[in-house]
Formats: sequence, structure tokens, C-alpha cells
Amino acid sequence: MGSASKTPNYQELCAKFVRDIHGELPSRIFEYLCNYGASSVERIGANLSMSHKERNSSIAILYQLNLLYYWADPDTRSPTIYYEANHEAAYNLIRKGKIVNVVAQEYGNEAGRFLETLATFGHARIRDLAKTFIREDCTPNGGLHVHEKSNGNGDVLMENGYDGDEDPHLEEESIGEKFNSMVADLLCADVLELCSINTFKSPRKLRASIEKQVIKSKYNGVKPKGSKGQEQFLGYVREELEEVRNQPRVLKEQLLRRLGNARRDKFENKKTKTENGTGVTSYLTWEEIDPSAVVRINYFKTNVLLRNTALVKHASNNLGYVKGQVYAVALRIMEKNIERCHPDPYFHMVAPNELGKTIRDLNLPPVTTLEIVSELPEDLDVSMGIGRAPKNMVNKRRAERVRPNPRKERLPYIDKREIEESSGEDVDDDEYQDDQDIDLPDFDARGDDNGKVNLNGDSDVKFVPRRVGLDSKVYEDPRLQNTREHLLGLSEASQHYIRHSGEEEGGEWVVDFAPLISKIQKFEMDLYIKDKFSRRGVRLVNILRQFGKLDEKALASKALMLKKDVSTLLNDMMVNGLAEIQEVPKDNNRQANRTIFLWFFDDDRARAQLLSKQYKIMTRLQQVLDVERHKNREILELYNRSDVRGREEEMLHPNTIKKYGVFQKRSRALLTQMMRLDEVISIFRDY
Amino acid sequence: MPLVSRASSASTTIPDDKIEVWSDALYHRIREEPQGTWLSQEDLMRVGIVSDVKHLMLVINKLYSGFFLRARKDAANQMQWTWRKEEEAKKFSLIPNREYLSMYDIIESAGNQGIWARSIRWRGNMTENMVKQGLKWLENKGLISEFKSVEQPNKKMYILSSLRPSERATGGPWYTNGELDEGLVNGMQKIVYKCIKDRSTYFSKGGSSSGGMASDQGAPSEKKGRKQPTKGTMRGSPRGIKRTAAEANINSEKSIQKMTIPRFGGPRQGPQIMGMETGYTAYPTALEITQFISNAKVTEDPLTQSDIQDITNMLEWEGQIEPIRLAKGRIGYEVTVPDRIPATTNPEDENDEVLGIAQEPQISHSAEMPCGTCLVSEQCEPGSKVSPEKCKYYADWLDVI
Repeated sequence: MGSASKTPNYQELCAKFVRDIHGELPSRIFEYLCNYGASSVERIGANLSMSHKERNSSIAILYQLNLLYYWADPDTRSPTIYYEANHEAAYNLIRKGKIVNVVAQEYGNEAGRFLETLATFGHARIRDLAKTFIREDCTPNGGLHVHEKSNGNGDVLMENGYDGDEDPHLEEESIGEKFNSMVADLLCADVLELCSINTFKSPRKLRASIEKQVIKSKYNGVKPKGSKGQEQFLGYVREELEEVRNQPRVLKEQLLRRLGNARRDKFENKKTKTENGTGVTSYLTWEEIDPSAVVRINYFKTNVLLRNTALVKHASNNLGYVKGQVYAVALRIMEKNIERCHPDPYFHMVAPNELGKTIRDLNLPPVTTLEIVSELPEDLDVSMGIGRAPKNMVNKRRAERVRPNPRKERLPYIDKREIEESSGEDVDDDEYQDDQDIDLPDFDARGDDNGKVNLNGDSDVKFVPRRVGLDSKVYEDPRLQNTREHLLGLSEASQHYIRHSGEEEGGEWVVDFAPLISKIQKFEMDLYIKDKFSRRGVRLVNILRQFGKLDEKALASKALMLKKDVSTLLNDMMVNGLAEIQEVPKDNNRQANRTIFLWFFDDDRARAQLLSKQYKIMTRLQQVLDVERHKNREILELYNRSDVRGREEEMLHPNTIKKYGVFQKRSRALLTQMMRLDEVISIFRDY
Repeated sequence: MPLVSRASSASTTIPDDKIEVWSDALYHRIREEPQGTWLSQEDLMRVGIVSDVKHLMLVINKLYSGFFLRARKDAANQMQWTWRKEEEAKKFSLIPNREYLSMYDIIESAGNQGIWARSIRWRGNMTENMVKQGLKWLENKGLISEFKSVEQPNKKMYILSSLRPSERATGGPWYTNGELDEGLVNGMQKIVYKCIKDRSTYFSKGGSSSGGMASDQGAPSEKKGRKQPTKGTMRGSPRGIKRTAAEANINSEKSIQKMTIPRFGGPRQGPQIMGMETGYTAYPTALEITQFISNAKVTEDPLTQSDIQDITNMLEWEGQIEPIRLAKGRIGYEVTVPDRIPATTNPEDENDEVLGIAQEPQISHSAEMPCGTCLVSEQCEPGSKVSPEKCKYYADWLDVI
């Protein structure tokens, strides 16, 4: 997250969340740290007029939840400890429910509930978590029931047992086993991470101190000069950073080493199925995990899960339910290899040959159609959702095109054809050279052995796709063919949800996240503009995106709109921080009639504006919720009384119950709205 | 012009009838050149009617005074001439005085771009009153006419009555009397969108196993009270639109695989309009849409491909359609997010909204709530005049929800 997002609105919002969930005192400290930056305990206490006890307990709460970072200079004896606010963690407070949901969907309800417990604690020892969790669950309707112990096939079903047939008295040992297996699962999926000595240190200071340390140890305290020296220096720093980055994954690596074989033979080995049955695979059996290890939720990884959900939702909306489901499976297989959505600004340093790339573009291993088919839910009918057209209107070769490299970014404001003509080379190869196809039988520049094309005139071309690495029987399986068709549909859509990168095992697929997310961001931005300024606003913005800067007259003639409508709309958009204007005086006298006014639209600025606005709206929603609570405080107090709880209907007046119902409905509406806004914020900022 | 006066001094030695014959001959020879070709003195000598420069001067002078020639100076300050039609020359002879004559000449030289009244004044070095009277006289005689240019809508522009203003000045088919015809633009937008939608999507009934193209059930019928654009030259309604052979081919039911929505329940159970399979090549191109529109005779004046391109560009900028590159550099179009467009079970019942640009259910979350549309949200702070505590909009919104 860039510093641009730490606007006053964002800080206010974060402080509001802290106040809402953890109360007044911690939020005052958090707010103070937001406003004044890193501060020592003494200064916090003095400025906020808090007693030692209040101050220390509040800091302990914030520290426990990682809502603040600390820093103590290692070079000083008895150093002062400074604290600074961790905005991301504060913002994540509101996402807790979403994260729990998405983890529950993928790793089972138990994992979801476990994560909920962990989120409440912030970070905790596995042993303590186990105690809390197992104690909670040893109730008759608790969750951790061993529904079916290892049978002949070695299948273990993990289910939230509400059927009442279960034996409520479970052996604690087997519960412990299940618990460990679940934790191991989550650790291997990177959803949990190990807390290390550096976890709570200020990342900014930590990075600086690592650099300082390298200078001290390798260069005797003198920073190297010259490009070569600098490169070498950065190399050392990179190594150190790599180590810091890997610390939270030490436990995972230990586990993987122990379970290496189990993971390797994933198709034969034990499977743990979750109750939603959507094919979440976990191949870990019970293993001893270091119970004294301290773990916490890895919010960066959960963001990856949330991103997948958002992408699937988008694809389903655009291309239909079946394609969405196929996409969900592909993304789920892919997510194992994705550490986080964005590179860590402090600890991820790319090597010089990777400069300009982000972690999102680094090579991820592709998923194959076979893998996807094997993971597809069995009740999904993949023959649905394909709009078959007459054969002479379909160009299979175009559809099956393999793109080993990501599509090239388009240059703004320039017509691609112009470049192509002037440079004589193919700029956008996939777009323009694509389609000589019907006339060209030689689609075998890529060394195809099996593909055959019969040319019976221009219109009727029979295409037999390549079958690398598969015998024809497997290939002709209709389920595989239909899945391929859906995947090709996902890749052909204008968003290019997926890329057909190879032909092995029925087709290899990768996702280019960076361009995909930016397309979705553009879609969201257009949606916002459409709702606020009508379709005509979208029209103007897209013209400005395409042509850069234009004056009103040119805009009006391109958009086929009246000039007065154009200026009204643009002025409206300017007030809202979307469109912007540049004045170009024709001469030294800066008179309005001797000045050209050029309109332009800057996506990044508009996005920052929109985000800041969203933060403010969220704060207001939270405040309206506070107002509602304040209005209904007497009813809420009644409901909170221990003698009333559980017996509301007999003890309270029907009017009170009715009022409470209205309050609940309203607060639910407000919270739902916040969740929706969070979806937009995530798309613009986190994915 | 000096050339003319010098020539007249030499006329003493040559008989007038000879000059007359030469003039006629020269005029007829140069008329073989296309109109508007500028000829220099050397070019006229080369024609071979007159061999002496002095005689040529006399001949030119004769033609010029009879208004059969127009003169100008080129970049090197050399004289050039071009011929004028006889009927045009006759019009000149009707004009009583030199000022009006030069005004008429200036307007003629502006061609089909027309000229601003004030520019005539500057060029002719005349008083405002004189120009006013002259223009009035010329207009009354039907020699010139006033028109509105799209580029300079506030300026009074004049053009020869015999000419039609250029497309640049009139703005093309989307402008009527220099003003944008929004009714026409919107109407065409709907027709083009419908045309693209029919050819780039298929209609899925959802739940049942029958299916077909969106347009499978034929063109929607006209309804009572259907809104026609208030202005413009729209003729007929989408009822009269006939599909081309290619489209009819796509629509044959046998060729479309029957489609249902998954029984276990996707996010949408009902009928919907969905995109075609991968590699589909029959997405309509601008040329095909133009042919379709011209066959359907939607407008009185035929629209060109570039006019239709204006509309497709507009739809593309609005995010309603997307370009798809087809074989041999052709660009086809498909509608975006087709399944968001609410479709009814029977396409014949489609209302105007579905026919044209539907109101999509997809909305931006921040625009749907009070803060997103509040005009005073900038001033909103807790405790101030506009504050979340006193917000009336929220009270209403929460009541409705």
C-alpha cells in the first residue's frame, strides 16, 4: 500500500475501527500515533494524559493485535522504544468476517472458526489456541467432530456435525490430531504464519537497519559508491531481506519437509475433504507441530484468497456461472504458488534483471486442463454455458491460439496501426496478425505433429487441435473438451481472465494478474462514473483516456454531444475530482478568451480521489451506526443484561423487541454497505 | 488590376473582333481543364491561341471584365487564372456596383466552407454598413445564403446559393441546421446496439432446454406509444428492420446448441443473454452494420461507414460494446456483459429498455447510498451543521431499506 492511501480520511477510518472494536483508550493511542507518527511511551502518556496503567494496557492490546509496530535502536544501550501505527492491520479489522468466510469455504468451517478465534487474539501460541479451541468444541454440537475415521481408502471427512447422531464424547486425542492437521493445512497454505522476532518491528526501520548493518559489516561503515559497488551492496541487502521475508515460513518449510512425500503423491495419498466438497485438497495427515510456536493470520495471503473470490465473481457476472466455477478451480490451484498480491514494499527487492516487473508478473507455474478437470466439482455440468455457433462461423484456430508470453500493454493515445506501419514490426502481435488463419493451413510454426487442416474453400476449415502429452482417449473426453472450451472463453473475453500458455496435458493456463486487475479497476471506475454522471460521463472519460488532452469543442464533436452538456458534465466531474483541466495561454496576457482549456482524465489521480472518498463514506457509515447505537442505547443495555440474555421474549415488552429488530435491521444495512465499499476499496488498492 | 489597365493601352493596334475571337477560343480551350485549376501566364501561352504576351493580356482582360475568369496571386506573387461557368459569369453581370461585386467575389472564393461576415469586411476593406447592405442585397437577389457552421455556431456565415456547405461546416448527418440532432444520434445508437447484440449473443431461456439467438424470435413488434426521436430524419421503426442473409443463417435453430442454466443453481436461474463460443467469427463489422442500416432504410439520407463508425465509437466509449479483431484486419463488435441485460422469457415481450440500452442492474456501491450522491458531503463533519448525526438522507435511506 502506497503512502498515498494514508490520507486523513483513511487514518480517521482506521482509528474509528479500532475504537469500535477495542474501545476508547486504545483508539486514542492509535489516533495519536496516526497524527504524530512514531512516539515513545512517555510521550504518548504525557500527551494523552493517561495513567500508566491505562497507557500500558492499551498499548498491550494494540500490540497483541499488531495494530502498532515498535522500534528500538539496536545500536543504543537501553534504547527508547518507539511505537508507530499499523494502518493495514487496523483496516483488516473490518475484513475479519470476509476472511473467515473465504477460509471456511476453502479449508472447511472448522478452519474458519479457528481463524476467527485467532483473529480475536491477534497472535497466539499454538498450544494456547488448541486449548481454547478444543475446549469450545467439546460441546455436543461443537464443530470438530470426526465424522468418519480413516476408512479403507484413507478418506477423512471433516464436517460441522449438527446431525445429532454423533457421539458427543469424543476422544481428545483424535480432536487434537484433527486440530493439528488443520493448523498444518493452514500453515502450508500460508494462511497462517509464524511470528518471528521481526514481525512486530517497524518494517521501515527494519529495512533501514538491515542496510546499515550491511554497510557496517561489509564496507566498514562507508557506503559504496559507483554503480558496480551499489549493485554489489544491493545484492547483499537482497540476501538479508530474503532471510527476513522467509522467517514467517520456517514452520511451513519444516512441515513440508516432513510431509514431502505425502504432498508429492498427492493424487494417491490421503485426502481431507471439506464439507463444501468443492475439491479443496489437503494432503496432510496428522503431524506433530511445535506447540510453542506463535502464529498469526497472514493477511497478505488471505488477500490473495479474497482476490480470487472477486475475480470469480467478476467472471461469473460477465461470462456466466459455469465459466466462473471453472475459473474458481483454476485460481484455487494457482493460489498455492502466490505469496501475496503485491510485492512487499520493504522486504521484496527484485533482482536487477527483474527490474520493472512486480511479483505478480514473475513466472508462476501454469495449471493444466487435466488438473482443473480433476478438481472440478462433480455436479458441475460443464456442457452448459457454451454458445455453439454454426461451424463455418467459428474459427477454431483463432480460439486455440497459444500465447506463451503475456499480451503487450497498449500505449495510450497512440493508434497501434500507426506504430505498426511506421516501425514495420508487429506491435500487438496477438491482435493484428491473428487472423490470417482461415487462409493459412500452416499453423504448425510451433512444431505441431498432429494438427491437420482441411481446406474446403474459405469458410469450412476443420481444425484438429494438438494433443501434446495426452493420448486421444483422454483428450476426447467431453468433460475435458468442454472445460477447455470454457477456459478458452475466459481467455478470449476482453478482460483476458486467463492466458492459454501451452499445450501440455490438455492445455496450460496462466493468469496475468496485473493487467487483469487494472482492467477490473477501470470497469469499477466506469461503473462509478456511470452511476454518478450517466453513460455520457463514461463516454467523455473514455475519449479522454484514448486521446489524452482535448478541448471542449473537440470533445463535443467526438462524443456527439452538445457543447453545453459537455461543459456541464465536465465541470461536475471536476468538482468530484475526476476530470481535470489545463490552461494553455496563447500569449502573455492570461485572458480567458486567449487561453485554451484542455480537459484530461488521470486514472491514478481519479482512483486516489475515489479511494479517499470511499474512506470518508465508510467513516460516516460507522458514525451513523454509532448514532443508531446511541439512540437505542437503553434497549441495547437491556439486551446485554445477563439475566435477560436468552430469555428476551419472556422478559421484554413486545415494543422493545420490535425496536430492537428495527435497530438490528438498520445496523445490518450499514454494515453490509461497508462490506460492499470494502470490495471496491480492495479492487482499487489491495488486489 | 494593373494588368488590365496596361493591356488596354496596347489595344489600339489590334481590332476588337480579333480579340473577341481569341477570347472565345481561349475560354473554350481552358474549359477543358477541370474547374478550379489555376493557370499561370505561361500555361495560357502554351495553349497556343495567342502567341504574343501583349495580345494575351488583352484577351485575359476581355475575359476577366466579362467575369469569365477569376484571378489570384500565387505564393511567388505571380498572377493565376481559372475559368468560371457562363451562368456564374451572368450572375456577376447583374451586380450593380464594384463593392458588391468584390463581396460576391470574396464569398465565391471561400467555396463550400463559407465565410464569416466580418472576414468579408476585413478582406474587402469596407465599412460595416456597406457590408451589411451588400449582403442584404445579394441575399435578396438569391445569390448568396446564410448558414450556420458547426465549428463556429455563433458566427454569421455566407456561402453562394448554388453551393452546399461542406460536411465539415455542417457537421455531417448528425447535425440539422448546424445543431446536433440528439434524437437522431440516440435513435441510431439504439439501432446499432440492437444490431450488434443480435449478432453477438444468444438467448438462453434458462431452466428449460430450449434456446436460440437473442433475435431468434424475430424483430420485436412495435408498441403503442413507442418513443420516436423528437427531431431528426428517423423514418420507420425497428419493426421494419430486416435481417441480412448472414444473420438469418446464424439464427437457424438447428445450428445453435440448446442451452440451459445449471440445475444446481448458479447466481442466475432465469433467462439470460450470453456471449458466443470462442473463435466465433461472425461478429458484425462497421461495414456490415452500415449495410444493414441502409437496407433497412432507417434514415432518409444514406449513412456512410464512417458515420456508423461514429456511433460504434460512441457505444465503445460508453462501455456497451467491445471491438474484436477478426480475420484480415476487420474489426467486429460484441456487446459487453450481455448477461446483465435483463432479458424476458419471451423476446417478443422485450420492452424498449431491453431493446435498446438496458438499465443494468449492476451499480456502483458508493453511488447507491446517501453519501455517494450527497451534494454537501464535503462539508459533512461530526458536530458541524452538516453531520452524520443530523443526516436526513440516512434516516430516509435506512427506513426504505
